[in-house]
Amino acid sequence: MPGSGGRTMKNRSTGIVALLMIILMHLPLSGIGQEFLNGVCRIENGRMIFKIDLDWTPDQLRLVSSQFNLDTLLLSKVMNGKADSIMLADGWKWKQINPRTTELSKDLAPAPPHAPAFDKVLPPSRIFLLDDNWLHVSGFPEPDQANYGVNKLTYSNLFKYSDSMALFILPGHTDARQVYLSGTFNEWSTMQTPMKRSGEGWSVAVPLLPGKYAYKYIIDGRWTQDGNNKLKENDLNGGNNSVIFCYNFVFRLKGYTDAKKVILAGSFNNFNPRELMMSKTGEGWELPLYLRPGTHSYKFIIDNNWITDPDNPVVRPDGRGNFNSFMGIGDTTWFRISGHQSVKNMVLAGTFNGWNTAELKMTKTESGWQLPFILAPGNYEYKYIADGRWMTDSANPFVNGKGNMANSFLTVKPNHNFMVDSFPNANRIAVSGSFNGWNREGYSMVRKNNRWMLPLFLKPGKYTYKIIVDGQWILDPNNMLWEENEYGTGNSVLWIGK
Amino acid sequence: MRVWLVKIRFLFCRVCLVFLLPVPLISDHPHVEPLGDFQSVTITLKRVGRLFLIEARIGDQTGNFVFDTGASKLVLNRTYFRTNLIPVDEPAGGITGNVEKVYQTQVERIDLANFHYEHVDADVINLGHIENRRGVKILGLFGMSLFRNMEMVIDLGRSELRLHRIDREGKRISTVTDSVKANISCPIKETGGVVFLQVCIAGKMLDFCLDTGAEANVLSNTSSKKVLGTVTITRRSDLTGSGSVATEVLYGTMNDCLIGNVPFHPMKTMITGMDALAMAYNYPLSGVLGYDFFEKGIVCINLVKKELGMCLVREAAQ
Repeated sequence: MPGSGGRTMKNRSTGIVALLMIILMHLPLSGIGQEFLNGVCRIENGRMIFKIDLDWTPDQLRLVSSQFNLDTLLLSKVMNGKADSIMLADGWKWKQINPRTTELSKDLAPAPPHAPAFDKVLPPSRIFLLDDNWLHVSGFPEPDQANYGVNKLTYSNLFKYSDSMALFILPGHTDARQVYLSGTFNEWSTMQTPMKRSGEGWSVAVPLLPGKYAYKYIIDGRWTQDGNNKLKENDLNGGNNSVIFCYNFVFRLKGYTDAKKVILAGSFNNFNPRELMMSKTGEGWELPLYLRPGTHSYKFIIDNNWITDPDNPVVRPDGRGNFNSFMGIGDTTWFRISGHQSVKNMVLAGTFNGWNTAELKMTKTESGWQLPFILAPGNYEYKYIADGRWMTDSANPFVNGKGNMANSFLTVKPNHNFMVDSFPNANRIAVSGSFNGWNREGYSMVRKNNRWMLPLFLKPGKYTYKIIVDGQWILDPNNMLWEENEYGTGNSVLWIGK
Repeated sequence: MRVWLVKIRFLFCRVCLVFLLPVPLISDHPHVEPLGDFQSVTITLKRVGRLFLIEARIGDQTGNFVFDTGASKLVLNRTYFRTNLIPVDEPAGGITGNVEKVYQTQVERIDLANFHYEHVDADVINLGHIENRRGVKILGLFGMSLFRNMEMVIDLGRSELRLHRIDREGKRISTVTDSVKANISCPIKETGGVVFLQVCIAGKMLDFCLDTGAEANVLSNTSSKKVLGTVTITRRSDLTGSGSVATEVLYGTMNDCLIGNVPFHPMKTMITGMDALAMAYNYPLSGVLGYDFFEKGIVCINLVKKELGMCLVREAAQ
């Protein structure tokens, strides 16, 4: 009988309720056994029933709240024997079982179509997907990001990389009918990259950019790890994927041929003095490897003596009285402004440096100001600061935002170009979608010769979006792919591959 | 009209179950023959979370299809297939409350890595929500019609589906030995184009659908007090669907569960309402055996012999 047993609780002060709620929200859950959860919830006659022990600690209450998605306020009311209209309106009922136990119950609602945790596609073809709180998956397994990498093959001739082509060689398995190469470079395709019989094994050449890749062979339908590659990563399926690096740099040191060993150490491996052993060549020493794009400092260690690179003039102090050599991987973006000769200090600030207003001071030239800066592929917003006054880049037509909130918008190495040929008389066309959180303003497109365009860099994956023509949201007229949305108007669909 | 017919058939099935009458089987299960020079073939599965995908090519599109024994036939994602569609008379929304339209088409040819199909009938619906939730491009679902007249060996541990050609008696034609030795054998039946087997929970025999497209087992929340009493409920999700309608989904562990007289407990399960699905299948099912079941071993399905064999791996049988 709802409310009949609440008298023992009524004497507790409302202050305790508030305190309890605060404690529930902030206390850590460490040290609580979860066994007590086993008897908390049951189903009877179409109702789910929660058995609430009034002696539970705040930690236990918080755990119950989190595991069973029960509102802390609701639990507090039950603990204090107070029911209100809001609680009853949600369909909750409660009754006192004994002085120390209360039961909270509610009718089980029928599962509606397309409920997130019980995802019914139309019959007879439906898929049950777990709720994202329990299983969040986005795409196939990707290898961990790497600052650098050196391959560890049993025989170095089983992998070759030159001119952006990677040659994979699998020795043996001559009885196999079919062998495929599958990895992060072909989105783990099981049929896109067949290998050819080659001597006493199989081989295939794949066009690849420098980077780190995970892969496996598929031999007569069976996933097989490369037994000749010692680099591996968990495949999230109880096994391992093989890992290979496609190199983009070779460190070379001329001379010192009498040295016993030469080691490379740098910011990319925390100057580890024992890891990256260089190989002796006819003219000196060298080490090919993969390095993440960006700026790196380094030194050579010749028989325990640390030296800067004698062939690299770029040397900077390390702040502790020593010097390191510096090198960069990637393209340099030049930021240039014309005029503003009377300005004393010109600073560049943007999303690439956390809008730091003191870091990137520009250099005055005969015609204005400039600053070279290495940026990885991506989309960036920025502004110039002329003697404390913020301004957009007048030479860049791409702008994000309006009025004082507008920033110049820069895309480095775009991999997709949104283009709209229609609407030559439109005043403003923008694009908005899952890549910018469906921003109401969207990213402004720029008109060039009656064609509106916006180059963007997008990470691999699926994007849904719409074009905004003078405030009206429409499907992309140049894209045939679209899917239904909750408004019945559809969204354009875009997949970005690797 | 069709909606009412379906509802009447569903109610009839329920009445049959209550009075232990034999449920009428639907006999017209479509199937297509895999074409290629093989008697046994291994299909490589790609795993994304708890879904398993088969890569295939239709026309100029190559992509992933969910391996989904819970679907009766091929299903295509309308995002990528919008031509030559024939609308189905009644939207299936009459059953589920969903207003989505259903179309049908016929695919001329589907190519896999080492064989192909021709002239395959398909439903065409929107599957964008699977893509958006799991982050992979989904061209469709591979349902039972593509595997029906083969012996299927589902080995999720190795991410493999092995198909063996069989004769009219259900015996393998293939001379290739599949070294799986089943330590469980139990009868199955086919209804509405999908496969059901009986699971014994708390001494009651309940019909479960075999569904490789289910990321979890599912148990109906309208099961008896005795059945639900054997489940330890450990989590709850009170979620709002796209139509702002909340639903209760509970998650727990089945503690008294036998399949083929072999204990399968503890085995994880979701608990939620299944009436809409039962209507979709025209069959009063009590649950779905999904990933939590298939991960326990290698499952062999032979629809001619009407038999399921299973070789338990890991610690399934305790």
